[in-house]
Amino acid sequence: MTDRSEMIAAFLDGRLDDAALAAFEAQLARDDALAEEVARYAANDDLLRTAFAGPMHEPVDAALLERMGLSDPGKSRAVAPVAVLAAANDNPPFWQRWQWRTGGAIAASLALIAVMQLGRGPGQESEFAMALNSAPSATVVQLADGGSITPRLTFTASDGRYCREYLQTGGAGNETGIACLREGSWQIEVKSKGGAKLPDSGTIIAASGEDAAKLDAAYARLGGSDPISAEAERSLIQQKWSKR
Amino acid sequence: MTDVTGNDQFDLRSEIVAILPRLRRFCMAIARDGDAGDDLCQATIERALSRAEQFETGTRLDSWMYRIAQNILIDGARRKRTRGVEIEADDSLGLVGDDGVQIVEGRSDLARARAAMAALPDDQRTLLALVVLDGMSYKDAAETLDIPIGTVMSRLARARRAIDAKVNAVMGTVQ
Repeated sequence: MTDRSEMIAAFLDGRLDDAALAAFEAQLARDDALAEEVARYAANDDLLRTAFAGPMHEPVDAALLERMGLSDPGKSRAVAPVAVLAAANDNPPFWQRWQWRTGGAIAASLALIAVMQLGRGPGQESEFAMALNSAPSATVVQLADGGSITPRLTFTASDGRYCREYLQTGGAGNETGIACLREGSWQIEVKSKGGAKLPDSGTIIAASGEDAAKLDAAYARLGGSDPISAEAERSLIQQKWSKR
Repeated sequence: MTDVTGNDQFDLRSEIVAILPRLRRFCMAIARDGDAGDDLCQATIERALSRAEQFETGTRLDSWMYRIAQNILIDGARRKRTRGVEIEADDSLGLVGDDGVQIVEGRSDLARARAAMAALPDDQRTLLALVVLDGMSYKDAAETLDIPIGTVMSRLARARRAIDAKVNAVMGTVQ
């Protein structure tokens, strides 16, 4: 990688190893023209990111899902369409529930959808803990029994504990819950039946009616903060949820 | 949970919803303009859902969807060429249009960035969308586009030089 613009590109993309990075930084300190070029390229990248940021800030609502062909009206006739459910209980999907407060933090955490396989654990309970310990929000963690756990967001309770809202699917049906971390173990604060995915439309929605009230009551009781950013969540996972 | 095919479809749909903002951004970036981007995105989702069984669980859904979007775009361009209606990608295209609105927009930095992106060759534009916009690693970008990692690096460097020339050369000049 001797080419100057390849070096700049690799530097901007964080792809230089430690030695190469040190060498490049030393060169940057000596070479004003190079530093100026790097700054200009970095600004260009930022400009591009801003120019195409529109979709990242728009809410993923029923209208958008419909426009994108993701609301599946043919099948959802059997159950109430998402929009109707949302209107009936005045309870928007979970990412919207937070959106007005977070201004995109949820979008950031949603951006990281991935499927994760856990190593074989002794049982469901430890798989549950492993999922909440290690999976970023919006990562579908597949369980040995065919179910899944998807952490949805992370927040700090008013007593300082880290808490995560999650969706669990499997034999017992879908459940949305909140678990908080106390002395190294995840304690379930609330669980509500179903409400997470409508099997016939496949669309994720928040728990409805009574179950949503249960979740909201738990949020109120825990005094939850706004969801933390994807980045903050990543570093919590890396440092194994220890308080600094 | 018993119907494997149905279950795949069901999970795929909600996983697509979760990456929808990124998918829309990718489509917008490679389709050369925002409206065409959403059409491309919608077509991509339709094709993905109809081929749900081809998605391998445990692989990256975003990469799979991006490849589908890219293929649809290539197919579309091929059709246009055979019909002989493809417009040569002029450098000023998108920067200054026939209507006044576009001309005014053409003077803003962001529109200049979008125009610079639109003027890139397809392969460079797609790669920038993956690495710069989506933050993909070189390795994942190489796998998504099925090209060697060395090509990723040289192509990215070329793309960035071209963007720099466009964005900064027209600065201050009003066309």
